[in-house]
Amino acid sequence: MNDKKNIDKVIAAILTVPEKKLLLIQIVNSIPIKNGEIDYLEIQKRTLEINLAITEAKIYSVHTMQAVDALLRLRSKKEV
Amino acid sequence: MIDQNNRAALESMMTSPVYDEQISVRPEGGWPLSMLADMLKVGPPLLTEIIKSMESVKDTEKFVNLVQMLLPEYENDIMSAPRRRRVYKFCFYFGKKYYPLPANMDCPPAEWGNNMPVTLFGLSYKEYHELDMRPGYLLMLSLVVYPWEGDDRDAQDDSVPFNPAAFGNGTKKWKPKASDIEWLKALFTSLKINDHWIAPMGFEMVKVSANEFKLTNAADNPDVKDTIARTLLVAEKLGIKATFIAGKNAAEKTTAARIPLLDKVQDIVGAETVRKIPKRGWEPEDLHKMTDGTRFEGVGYFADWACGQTGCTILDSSYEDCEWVEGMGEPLFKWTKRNIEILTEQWPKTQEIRTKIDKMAIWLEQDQANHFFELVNFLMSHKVKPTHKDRMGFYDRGDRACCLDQFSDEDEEEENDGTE
Repeated sequence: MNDKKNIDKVIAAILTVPEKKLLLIQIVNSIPIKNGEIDYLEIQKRTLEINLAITEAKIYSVHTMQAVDALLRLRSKKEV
Repeated sequence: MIDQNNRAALESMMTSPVYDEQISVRPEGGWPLSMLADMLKVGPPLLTEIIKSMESVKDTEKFVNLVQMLLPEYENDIMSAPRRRRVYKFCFYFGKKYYPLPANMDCPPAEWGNNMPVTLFGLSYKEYHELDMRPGYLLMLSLVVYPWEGDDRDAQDDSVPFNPAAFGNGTKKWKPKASDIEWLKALFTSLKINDHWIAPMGFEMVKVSANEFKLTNAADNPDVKDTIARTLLVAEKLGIKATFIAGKNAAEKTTAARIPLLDKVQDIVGAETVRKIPKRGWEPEDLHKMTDGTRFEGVGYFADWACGQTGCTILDSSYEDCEWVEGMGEPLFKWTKRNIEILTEQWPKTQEIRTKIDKMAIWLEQDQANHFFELVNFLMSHKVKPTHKDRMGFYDRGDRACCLDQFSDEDEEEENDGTE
C-alpha cells in the first residue's frame, strides 16, 4: 500500500468519528464575562456540573492524544 | 534551601540598583515585540487553558480581591488585559502607587494572589563566612566589626574552649594521690560505653571505649581548666586515653572570625594596608561618624547592612531570619496592608542606602589597592577611639527576624483543617 492510500484510509477513518460537543465548551459559553475574566462567582455556583465537564474534557483530551500519537507512529512505506 | 536563598539575596544586594531599575516593569510600549507576540496569538482557547481557568477559580478570585484591595482604581484596566499581561499591569500600577515589586512575569495571575513577592537582601551568617563577594564588598566588610559577636553558633562548635594540654603549668608539679587514681578508676569502670558523666563544676566526660574517654562541654573558667588538667594526669597514670578537641572560647573565636576575611583582603590590597585596620574593625556608628558627608559616604551604610541595622526590613533580614513552611522552596509572605505599608515607607531609604553602598563599592573596585589604602588612611587619620559594644553572649538572632507577615506551618495546618 502506498502513502496516498494510507492517507486516504486515515481521512476516511477520521470522517467516521462522530461529532463531540463537550459540556465544558457549552458551560464556558453560558457563563458571562466579568472584568475580563469568566465570572468566578458563577463558576463557584456550578461546581458539580463543572467538575463533571472537566473530567469529560480530560478524557476526551487523552483519547485525542492517543489518536495523534497513533498517527505519528505511522511511517510511510515505499511503493512496491 | 535557606542557603540557596541567602546566596540569591547576596547576589541581588551586590547587583547595582540601577540594573533593578532597568528590568523593572514599565508602561505599555516598553516591549513592543512581546506585545506583538501576544497580539499574534489569536484563535480558539486551548482546552487545557479553559480547564485551568475553571480549576483555579479560587486563585483567580484571590487575584481579583488583591486588585480590589490595593488598586481599585485600576481594576478595569488590569482585568481587561489579556491574562498573561495582567500581572505585568498589576506590577506597573503597584509600582506607581506603592513601591516597585520584584518583577516575576512568569508567575500566572492565579498564583500571584497567593503570596506577596519579597526579595530580601540581608547578609546571612553563612554568606559572611563563605566570603564569596564582589571585591568592593569584601574590602568594606574588612572594616566592620564581626556582626555575629556572641552568636551561639560560634560558641557551639568548640566543646573544650581551651587546650588542656597546654594549660596547667602549676598542675605539672601536682602528683596524683592514690585516692585520686582510685576515684577515677571507679568512675570510669562504672560507666558503660557512650555513658556521659557530668562534672558539676562544668565539663563532661564520655566513655568512648574500654580505655578511652572524651572531654566535652567544658566551661571556660580556671577551676575547670585546673580540674581537667589534673584529670588528664590521673588518666595517664591509669593508662586511659583522653581525647578532646582543643578549641577557642567565644571571645577568641569572635576575633578569629575576621581572620579569613582579612587574609582575603590582604590578597587584594596587600598586607601593609590590612595591618592598619583595627583588629576588631569599627562599629557602624564610628564609620558613620567618620565618613558621612565625605567622599567616602557609603561605608557607614555598608556597615549598617552587614550588621543588620539599617532599619529597612529587606536589607536587615536574610532568609535564615524568616518563617519557613515545610516543603516550600522559599518563605511565603502574606499580602497584607501592614506588609505593604512597611515596605512602601522603607523603600526610599532602602534605595538610598543601596545606591550609596553601590557607589562606594564601584569606586573601590576601580583601583582596589590604592582606593582602599586611601580609605583606610582617611579612617585612621580621624583617631576615633573605636566604640566597643560588649555584645559577648548577648547576640539575639531575633533582632534580625523578618518583621513582615509570613505564612507559617500553623497557617498551613489551619487551612488544611478548614478544608477537611
